[in-house]
Amino acid sequence: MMGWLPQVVRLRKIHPGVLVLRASLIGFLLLPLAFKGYFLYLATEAALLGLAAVALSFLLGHGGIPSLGQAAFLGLGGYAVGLAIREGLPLGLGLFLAPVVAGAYGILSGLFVFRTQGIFVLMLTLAFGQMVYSAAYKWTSLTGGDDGLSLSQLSVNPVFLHVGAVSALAVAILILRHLLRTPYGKTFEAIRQSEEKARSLGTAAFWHKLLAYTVAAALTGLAGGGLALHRTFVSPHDLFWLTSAVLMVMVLLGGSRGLWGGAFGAILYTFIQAWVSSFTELWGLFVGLLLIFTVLFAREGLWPILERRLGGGNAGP
Amino acid sequence: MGRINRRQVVKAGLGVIGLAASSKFSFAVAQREEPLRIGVVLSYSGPYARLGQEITRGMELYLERVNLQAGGRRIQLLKEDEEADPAVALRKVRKLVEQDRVDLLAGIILSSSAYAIRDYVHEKQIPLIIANAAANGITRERRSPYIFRTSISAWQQHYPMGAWVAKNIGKKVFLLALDYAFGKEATAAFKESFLQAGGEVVAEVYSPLGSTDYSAVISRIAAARPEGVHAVLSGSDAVIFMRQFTQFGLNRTVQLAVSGEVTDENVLEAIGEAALGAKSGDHWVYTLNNTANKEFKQAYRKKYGGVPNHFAVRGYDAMQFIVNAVQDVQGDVSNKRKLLEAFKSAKIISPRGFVQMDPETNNATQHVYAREVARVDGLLTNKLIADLGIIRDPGK
Amino acid sequence: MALLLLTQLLNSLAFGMLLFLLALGLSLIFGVARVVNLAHGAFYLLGAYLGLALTQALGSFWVSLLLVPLLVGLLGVSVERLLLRGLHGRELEQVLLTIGLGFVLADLLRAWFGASIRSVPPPAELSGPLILGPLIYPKYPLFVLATGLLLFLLVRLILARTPFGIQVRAVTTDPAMASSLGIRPTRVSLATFGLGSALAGLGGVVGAPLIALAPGLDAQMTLFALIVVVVGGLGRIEGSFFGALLVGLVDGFGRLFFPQVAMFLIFALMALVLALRPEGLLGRRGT
Repeated sequence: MMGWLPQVVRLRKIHPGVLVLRASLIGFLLLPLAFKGYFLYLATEAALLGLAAVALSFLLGHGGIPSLGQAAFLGLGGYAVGLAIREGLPLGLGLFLAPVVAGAYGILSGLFVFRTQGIFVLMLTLAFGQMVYSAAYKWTSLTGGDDGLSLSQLSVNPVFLHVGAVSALAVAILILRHLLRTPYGKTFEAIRQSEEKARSLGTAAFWHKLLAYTVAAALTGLAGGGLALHRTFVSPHDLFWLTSAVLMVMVLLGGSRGLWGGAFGAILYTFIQAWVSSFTELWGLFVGLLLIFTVLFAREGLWPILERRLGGGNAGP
Repeated sequence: MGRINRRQVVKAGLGVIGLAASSKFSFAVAQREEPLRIGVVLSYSGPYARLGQEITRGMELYLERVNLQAGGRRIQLLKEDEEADPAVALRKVRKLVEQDRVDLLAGIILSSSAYAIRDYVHEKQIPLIIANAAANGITRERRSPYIFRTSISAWQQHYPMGAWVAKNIGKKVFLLALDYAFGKEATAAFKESFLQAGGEVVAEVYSPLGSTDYSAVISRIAAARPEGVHAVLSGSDAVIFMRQFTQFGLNRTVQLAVSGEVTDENVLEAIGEAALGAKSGDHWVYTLNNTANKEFKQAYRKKYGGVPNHFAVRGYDAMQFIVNAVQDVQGDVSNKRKLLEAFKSAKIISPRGFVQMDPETNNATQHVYAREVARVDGLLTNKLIADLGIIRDPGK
Repeated sequence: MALLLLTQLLNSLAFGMLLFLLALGLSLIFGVARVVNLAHGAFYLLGAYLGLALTQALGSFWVSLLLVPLLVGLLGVSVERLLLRGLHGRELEQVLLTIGLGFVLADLLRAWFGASIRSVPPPAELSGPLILGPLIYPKYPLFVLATGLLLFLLVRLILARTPFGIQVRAVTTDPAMASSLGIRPTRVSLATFGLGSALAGLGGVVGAPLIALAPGLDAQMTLFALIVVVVGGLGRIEGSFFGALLVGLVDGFGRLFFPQVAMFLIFALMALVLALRPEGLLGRRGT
């Protein structure tokens, strides 16, 4: 009955080294504010993709749900904001609609997805993602098709946007971490570890997974809405399954257990890919090698390695 | 301590003046010695990588002609990959403008990339020379005083073919296009003049990008028995369609009068003999008989071997526009008003013939030609059949 | 009209057979090694480019038809041994590794062979049309059709009669039981990976004269193969066969009658099958 506040702010359980590490992550994201310009632009992109990656690591690392369809939520959020602006609705409403629309599609597709398990979840989320992509691509009167949707009337202060993005990221991590500590969250993890056992104990695994999926969808939709404001442009390309694959790569790079890994992976990938792409058109080669290397030698992702080095041992969410 | 000699004062005075003058002079020299930085944003990876390569080749070919100099300044190209993703194009443009401090931007293959960067370029007042993106809107409702298109709009390229086809091929035509903005705009332009000239459209089919099989459409064409087919395809779609068209024997009964993208030299090598005899509309033809084209072809063959294509021409011309404008302002690109004036009033003798910038729309007014695939000098390329006139994009 | 439908039927079946070659490899690899090989399309692309290079170098399509699957199969074996072996049981990591491998292969192929579109002519014996009364149909797609059928029967035979085939089926159905019976799953896994990759490579050589060759094809073919495997079902070769035919038909006739929504239809089909019968139309539960 004490309320959840103490749970959220239970810092005593976290090693100071880890805390410093996490603070520096946030600090790194806030650093570009001093430099503005391109560096800030890239950092905002990293923060927003980080939000989507954190949502995915919640699903994947803690729920064992491999979703290759997150791009659909990203894009739905983006188009929700884009269309809202185009219709003259206030910005706040647009940003509210983004997670709502994405979450709704999460529920809708989740009803089908969670009838299956394991690798079929991967493929089914892929299929649902591609369906949204085809719809966005073809429905030219609504979305502008492959020309994309330009939000030219818009001008959001990049500093506000960046601070907003980083705050959203931090808050999302806190919320998800809290969620994982509740009985619901523990059940969720139990389902990941062994669905059969969980079911035999009477849990409605289906509804647990659906809820998590919807929450993740909504957060990803918010990230997508943010990206629309950031780029002042939405295109069907954001919905393509390769974007979902990139999010997975970010989560893998950073580490799927522990939500901070997703954020770290997003930052790492965004900056490295941008840097490499300016040097060579074979950036796919580098990304592929990085992925292979991480899978083989840093299986849990790079963030847990950092946390262990600096935190000495247990690094939970 | 002696008296200060008058001569000494005069000498000193002259010395000071001389120093001041020379420092001003050396400042001006320093500015001119600083290279002119042009940010080139093209696809170097992904499905349009070849196009990006060819446009770059054309650009570098022209730069070699002028010894990488314009207006007394050395030209430096900073290339960035747009990766066939408009969000990436925007990011790279921002990098070039804010981090690399380029003076000008050039390139852009995808129309969606052009739309994505339009507001940013306009806001930052950086001149952008579009060397490929064909969407009509770029120089119509979304135009900007800072954006110039030296290539061609979808409307310009396809409008003149409509009337020509109605007169020279037949009045019953089957329309096929790739299902994206360019395919739709091109088909609409063709239809406009074709219907006006008394033509009849027997069917209009849009096919998804990256189709691996065109036999379905070809079956439909066979069943519809048109006199001609107007296809707007590119890349692997063009190759597969053309090959299957001949495989099914349709080339014997139905004429092809297609978009220049389908018979561009970069896909001709993959299509092979199956393309012979196909007619198309484009803004450049290999056999155009002007000095600029002869020089261009020679230089291209010498440096790269093989047959040039209209992408290389687009790169070549874009660079010519830029070099001329920079020459006009004598290397001083900081005077934006003068620079934009120079672009607006630009005229060049291109391998395509006479090309002029339209000051109202910032789009290039140019010739469009009807051509036919043939073997010329032992190469598989296109030969000129007719000059369809000087075409200006209406701007709305 | 009947002629139109017949032509479209043959086209769809030919394309379906190409998909079968791909899906079969993918299905075998998943059934035995439990790996969803998202680099499968890249193996296809590799096969296609190698086929082009070898045909040009050696002057014979048929020789490269024999050699290329061997080479690609060898690559598959090396990948399994060197990269995937250590990840046994960790399905997601394996998938992600194959994604990385796909990126690497695709870029290397683009660096080596260039970004231009390549057209691969069919061998002289198989080019040109076949005239059967009112029907004029090109020879090459018929060859692809025949190859697919032949391979279906051949692999079915191998799985049913040979010791290797029996081992494959055993490991697919129940790996624990299989190993307790003395079958070494790692060896079977290795061989199957090789076979599956070889099939992808074969698909590349066979498919290149049918569809063009360009960068980006790998992602498309991987997607198609996945759809077929999902629709048809994992674990049984009949699943890949009929699933491929179904997808080929839906794609072909979809383009003919509903070109606007063909893309959407394929994914809707996939989603429908997964929702109603997750193991695929002919798959087995528990795989």
